[in-house]
Amino acid sequence: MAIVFKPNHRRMLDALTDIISTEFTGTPIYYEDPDRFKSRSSQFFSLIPGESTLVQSYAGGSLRGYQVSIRYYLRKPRLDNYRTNVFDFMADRGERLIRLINNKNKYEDSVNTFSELDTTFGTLADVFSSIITYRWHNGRIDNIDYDPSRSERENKRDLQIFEADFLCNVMETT
Amino acid sequence: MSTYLETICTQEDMQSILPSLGEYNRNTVLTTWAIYSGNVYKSASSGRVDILYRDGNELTLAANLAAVDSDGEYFYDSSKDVVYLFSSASPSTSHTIESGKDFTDTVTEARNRASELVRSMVAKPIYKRKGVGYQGETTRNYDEVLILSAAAIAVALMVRPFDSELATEIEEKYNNEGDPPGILQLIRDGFIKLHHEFSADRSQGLIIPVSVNSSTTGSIVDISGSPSRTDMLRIQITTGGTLAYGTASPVKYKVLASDDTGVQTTTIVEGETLTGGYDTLGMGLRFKGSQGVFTSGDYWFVDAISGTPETQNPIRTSTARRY
Repeated sequence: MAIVFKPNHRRMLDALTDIISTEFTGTPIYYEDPDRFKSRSSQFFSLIPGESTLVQSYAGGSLRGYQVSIRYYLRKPRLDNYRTNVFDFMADRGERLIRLINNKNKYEDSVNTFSELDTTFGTLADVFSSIITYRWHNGRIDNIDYDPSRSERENKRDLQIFEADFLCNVMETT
Repeated sequence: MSTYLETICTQEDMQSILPSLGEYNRNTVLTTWAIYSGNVYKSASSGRVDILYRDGNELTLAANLAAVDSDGEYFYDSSKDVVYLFSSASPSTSHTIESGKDFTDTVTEARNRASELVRSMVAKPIYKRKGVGYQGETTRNYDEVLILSAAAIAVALMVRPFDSELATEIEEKYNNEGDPPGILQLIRDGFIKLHHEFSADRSQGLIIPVSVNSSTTGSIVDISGSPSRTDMLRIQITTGGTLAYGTASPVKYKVLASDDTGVQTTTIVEGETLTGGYDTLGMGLRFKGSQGVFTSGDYWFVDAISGTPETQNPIRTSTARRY
């Protein structure tokens, strides 16, 4: 019998992309490893999927933890007036991101995505959990580093970066 | 001011070299905003602002500061280097404001600069390749080596401010004075020929199939001899048939050459048999047809250059003797 599963990691990343792009309209979002960094535009986000861990197993399911590194890039030289020219802007971006995730710490899609529904009776429980379009709970930005380690390709004088660690839990029923 | 020259490459040529060209626009985020008055914000030392974008959307340029009176309008005071923006929400915390230039203008500027650089680097005449049957396979108005070189340099000009390594990587294949030399250096030194430059194939007679029936399987495959004059000859099949070794050939041909009324306007060979050996072409030349079917009306051009043409080939070694 075929194994039935939900692509939780992908669904979580899709949802995260969706809420960031809605809030930061016009800011491109890419998915690129820092080692493969390319200067794409004046500012953009890069979402780097991290680990998926088992937090707890239950009789009827499991609680999993997912992690995504959110890197924000700003092409701007670090001038003498670094505080007003760069840091204030970067810090505002970071705080806005934290508040956004706090507001969405229990995230459900606003639109039912019926295309994702399973139609077989064998996965009826999954159908109901899909209907409420649950994506995650306990979503949070664990920390933000305004001077993260840089890859060789990111090592540019006019590039400002912050990295936020996004964590969330997903309850999966079996 | 004006120019009679035109750009050698197009934006499509540039994108064929770097598909992600669109990511190398010159926008820059304006991070510092202060309230000027009411909902009008100002950003000092903004640098030249041709276009202002808010969250990726182009905003409306007002005629002067006083006209900045509704959401999304801006004015750039170049004498003070300050941009003023009317925004209902704070541009610092609620939006991303970028100043920049229209991307098409940036591309056009790069294409123009690259074309001028190519003309300077090649240091020999660049003629347009235009006219019926005169273009190459790409049917472009310039030699493909020039188009690609100009496109690569244009891309490098756009990329270099943001990624010098990538720009060098793109450009060095086409423009490199070091070793190995770039394509432009090879053109300049005569190793790569432009369409109008003489090369060995043209001095021996260049065969160009112009009108060949789809059922024709034979062809003109070789030219020998030295032409007595420069001309564009036409070999035309007048009686079709199959040319096969061991059998008398039924195929007849004629040759047309130029006179003082035009090119290919006078018949210099007529009613000759295409034997499969080296047959008479005229003007001191002979040609060879391959085995196969020839159809009446098939014709080929032979571009023949007489004398010792200026080849522009580089001098590799030279010896001088004193007696």
